[in-house]
Amino acid sequence: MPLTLFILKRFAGLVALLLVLSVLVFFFSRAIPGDVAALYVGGNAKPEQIEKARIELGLDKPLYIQYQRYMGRLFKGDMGLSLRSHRPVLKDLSEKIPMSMELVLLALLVAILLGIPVGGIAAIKQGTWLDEVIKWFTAAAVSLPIFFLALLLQLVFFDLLGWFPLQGRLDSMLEFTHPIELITGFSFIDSLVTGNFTAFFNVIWHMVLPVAALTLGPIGFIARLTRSSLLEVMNQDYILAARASGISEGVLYFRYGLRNALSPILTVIGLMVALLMLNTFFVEIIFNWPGIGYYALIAITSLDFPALMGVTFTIGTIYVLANTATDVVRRLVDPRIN
Amino acid sequence: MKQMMKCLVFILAAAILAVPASAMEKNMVYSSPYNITTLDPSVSYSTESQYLSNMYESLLKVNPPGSKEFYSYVLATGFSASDDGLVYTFNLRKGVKFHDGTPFTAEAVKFSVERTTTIGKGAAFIWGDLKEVQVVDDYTVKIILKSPAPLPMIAAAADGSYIMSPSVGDKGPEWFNEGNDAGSGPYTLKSYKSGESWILAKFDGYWGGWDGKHIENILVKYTKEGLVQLKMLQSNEAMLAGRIPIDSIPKIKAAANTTVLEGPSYTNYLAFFNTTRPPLDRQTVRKALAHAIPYDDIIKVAFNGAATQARGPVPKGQFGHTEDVIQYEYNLDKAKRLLAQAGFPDGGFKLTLTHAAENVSHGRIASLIQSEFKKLGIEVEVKSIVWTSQWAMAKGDPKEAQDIFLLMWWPTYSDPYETLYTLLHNEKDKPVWNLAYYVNPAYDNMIRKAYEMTGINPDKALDLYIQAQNMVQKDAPVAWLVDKKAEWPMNKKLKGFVVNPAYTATPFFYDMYLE
Repeated sequence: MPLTLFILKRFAGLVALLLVLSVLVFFFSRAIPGDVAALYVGGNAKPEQIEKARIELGLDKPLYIQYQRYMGRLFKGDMGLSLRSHRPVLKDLSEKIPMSMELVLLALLVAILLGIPVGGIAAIKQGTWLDEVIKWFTAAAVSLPIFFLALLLQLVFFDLLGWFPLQGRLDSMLEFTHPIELITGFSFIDSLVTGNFTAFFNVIWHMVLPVAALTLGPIGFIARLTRSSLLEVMNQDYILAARASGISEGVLYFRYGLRNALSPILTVIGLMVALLMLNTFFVEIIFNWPGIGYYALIAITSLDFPALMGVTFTIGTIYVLANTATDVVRRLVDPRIN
Repeated sequence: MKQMMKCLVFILAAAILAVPASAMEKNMVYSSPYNITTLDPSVSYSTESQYLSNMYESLLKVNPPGSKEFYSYVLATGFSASDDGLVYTFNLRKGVKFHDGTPFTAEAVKFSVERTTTIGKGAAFIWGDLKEVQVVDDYTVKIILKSPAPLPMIAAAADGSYIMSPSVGDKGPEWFNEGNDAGSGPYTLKSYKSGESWILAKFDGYWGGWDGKHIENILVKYTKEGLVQLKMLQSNEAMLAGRIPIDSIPKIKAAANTTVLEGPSYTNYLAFFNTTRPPLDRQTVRKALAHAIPYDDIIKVAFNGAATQARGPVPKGQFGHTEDVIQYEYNLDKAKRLLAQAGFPDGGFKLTLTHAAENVSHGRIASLIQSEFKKLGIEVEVKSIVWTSQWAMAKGDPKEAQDIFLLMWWPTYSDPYETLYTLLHNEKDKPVWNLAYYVNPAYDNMIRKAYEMTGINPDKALDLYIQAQNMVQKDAPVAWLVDKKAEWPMNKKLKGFVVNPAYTATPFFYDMYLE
């Protein structure tokens, strides 16, 4: 199948997935008892006002009509107003997504940069004490629950040692003296391109603990996978032949072995993005990081349906896109895949 | 490479030490669990009034209990009422400017009240008795009512009474929600990151001036988690926090750098009895239960002592509260006698109690009630449900609803009518706030009379309010649990904070300074 057709098929799949998700979230979320109109009005709202809001929000109509209207607006690029912030959901999301993505992408980068070499070393040193240590470390990294890990990091590096900040993405005082201008929404990029180095280093400093909490599991996962995948490849006949012809071990592992071992690792990286998106929910709440996870938490606790739908679409889209990108890269790396 | 490393280390060090000491005295961080729903002063009716009250002003402000005068004059300098209580004339302050430079005149009052009532959202209901606003001259405005109402209290309300610049024109809530403001208050909204943080900055042209000690910039850091607020306070990052876990309060009080400021508040906690369903449809049973509630234990366990037993619906300090209102004391013997009278000598019935799961105090109140009622042979099934769902269920058919409903309540303005009307008037077949589903036409008439009388004859109004409250207390549709004290965890360096119960949970930053 040509690559373009493959990508097109994936996009068709994405649209179908989003449709199914939209039905599920729309109808399930409305099955929760809660008076959305009353929440929208806020405070000690009076009955007449609640009734008025119900009509304004279209909640007086049957559910399937509400859904029809919602989808109609969605195709025009309108996700409605958040009941909580009274701002367009799309605007809220466009501010929150980059903040989560900077954590997720950085964590992914660290996981790849550390996970593959650590796994490679374990494979090369198979059976030695180093392999054992790595095995223990990666097992712990994979099995620690993320919220526990995040709290543990906070306890050790903020409460006990005081090396890293407790929360947020910028020192409060820097918000007065060196505020970050909003350009892309990625705070470390925005601060860098505006020459705001004070804020840039401060942001990096604030990212250390949340990224560490996010990346530890994926490091373990990628390392374990790299190790087993590499060992499997290294037992293949063609490696044996290459070794017999006197090619050095280093070249063998990294040029012939790793390249062929990469395919399953790349598959996992796509899944990893989805996992990281999910884990960032916990991390953002613990570190008060104002990304999409924090936004979703507020949306859930205040029954902010339009925002919740927006979050669902976003996560669904990111998930599919990450998987598609992975498959494309896999095809490029390994021509056998069709 | 070495040069680069050196450079990097230098920049890193500079970044960490960048904050000048002087910035700390004029700036402060407030770690707040109170989010912004809307920045539109006509629409606002939620926790954002904390911030809007610092950016916008009203004609009058109600002073904290114990003050010499009931009102402070803010944008008005005086007012008078006609004998029939239908026309109020306000003299306005001269030399006031809005943040956009527009001068404040009577036109602004007309514009603001009309905008708020036309949009008709949020706390617009406070202007329900309004007929029209007349501009007499630049600094005199007449507010004419359809029926008598305590207009000064309405003009001083915590929500819905803000005066904004007429330059807003026909801009809608979207304009405000992008982070704009149009007030005349001491602070203007300098930056707004929705759901993250916002900065209130000093308005140089404020009519009150900036002589003396003030805080110039406030960074409000929206922090949902109580534990994070606590840590921000402990580490001196935040000078003020909104709501830390109850059990951490003693720790904050004992620490060298922090304390908890206590003050009066009009927030109270109450328990509605479902008056439509046996056995609670019987007055004697409800009275018995009101005597079986361990008020002192609730104060100790659910509020760490920062509360007092309520005396009827109107909290202490508010107009309408007196010691003449009947109070039910904890007395199990009396409760048993009353139950026996009602034909339940050994209890023997089951009740369901619902409460907001996110409110820790609610949870503890529920357990205490459960264990006391058990002593009377009454089994209480406690259902802990998120507030929104709990409330939605209670608004359904009363016959299918819970037996006991716990509620935390606070009024929008200082007149008792709002509480007495909203919580207890006959809502017919569509319950919203009267979750005792209580019906008493005589009561409804009496509080309406008192309300209309307040502006003209406050003594007579007070008398009627006491009668009405005692009427309710004899029926016992609600057990009024406690009047909660306001508690503000803060750094000891923060001074000047005056807790004003008329503006529940509003920190007026202009009064504050750092030592």
